[in-house]
Amino acid sequence: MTIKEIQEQIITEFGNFDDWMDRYNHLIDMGKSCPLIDEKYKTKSFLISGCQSRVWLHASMSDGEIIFTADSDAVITKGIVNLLIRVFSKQPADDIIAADISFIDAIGLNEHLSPTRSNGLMAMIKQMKLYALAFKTKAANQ
Amino acid sequence: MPPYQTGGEMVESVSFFETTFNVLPFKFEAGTPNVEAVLGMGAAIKYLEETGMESIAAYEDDLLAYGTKKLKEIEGVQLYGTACKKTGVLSFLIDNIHPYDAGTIIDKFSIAVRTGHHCAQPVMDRFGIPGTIRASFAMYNTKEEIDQLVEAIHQVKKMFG
Repeated sequence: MTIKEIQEQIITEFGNFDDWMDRYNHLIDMGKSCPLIDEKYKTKSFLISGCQSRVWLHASMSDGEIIFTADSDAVITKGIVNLLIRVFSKQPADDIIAADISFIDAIGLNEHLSPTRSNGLMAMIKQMKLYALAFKTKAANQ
Repeated sequence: MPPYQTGGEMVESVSFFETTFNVLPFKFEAGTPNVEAVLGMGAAIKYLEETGMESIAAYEDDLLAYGTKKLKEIEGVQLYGTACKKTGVLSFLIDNIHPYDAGTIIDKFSIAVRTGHHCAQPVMDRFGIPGTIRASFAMYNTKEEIDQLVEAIHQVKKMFG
């Protein structure tokens, strides 16, 4: 699936919930199924700065696709990271760099986040795009 | 000391050759003074004095005692900071739930709490915790609102349990 298709899938998925509690319960469930980062990468250099809770993100490249793994000490944050991983992982670097992330507003996630938390979310997206750019540059130089 | 900002009333005279600034304190008070804030502050002090600082303190102590008792009754709630003469704040954690997670849900119940390390990382390190949830009680809060907080905490336990 393309990044756009996955985002549409997430929007439909969240559209099934009537109230915020169901949406958050879904987010909590998503947190539990996050593709976890290898413990050895849970270090300062893999921390995303700008998040209220600690978030570690790791990226690797395989067959031209970027693979993301992550973890967080807060479950809701982990759910949000997992949504981003669903959208971005196993995608070509170019697609990640060019992607327009529309699902966050569409599922009403942003309106519930305070500016500090919203900044954290933006930091995660930025970090994922930076990883994609780094791998693209590295591949081009080889 | 040169002025940090320019604006109305801070200049004495200006020519192409020289600028002289007004005397103190006007030199450092460029533009329109914060009139409404000064008047608002005055009104706030008047209100507090009329209500009586002692009765406000007694009311807040009562709220704190009620909140402390209610939170202690909830299994898994750990209070941080229990000095006998502390002001109307309750810092706490619920089970092993991250304060960010708990705060997000409590917020959905329209209860404003602060989460995080409250700019006091050394204290958090001392307790070995990432942060706390902090509820503050003031003269405009009620025991009913504390009951709502208790309800929200139970909901948090249910959602993250």
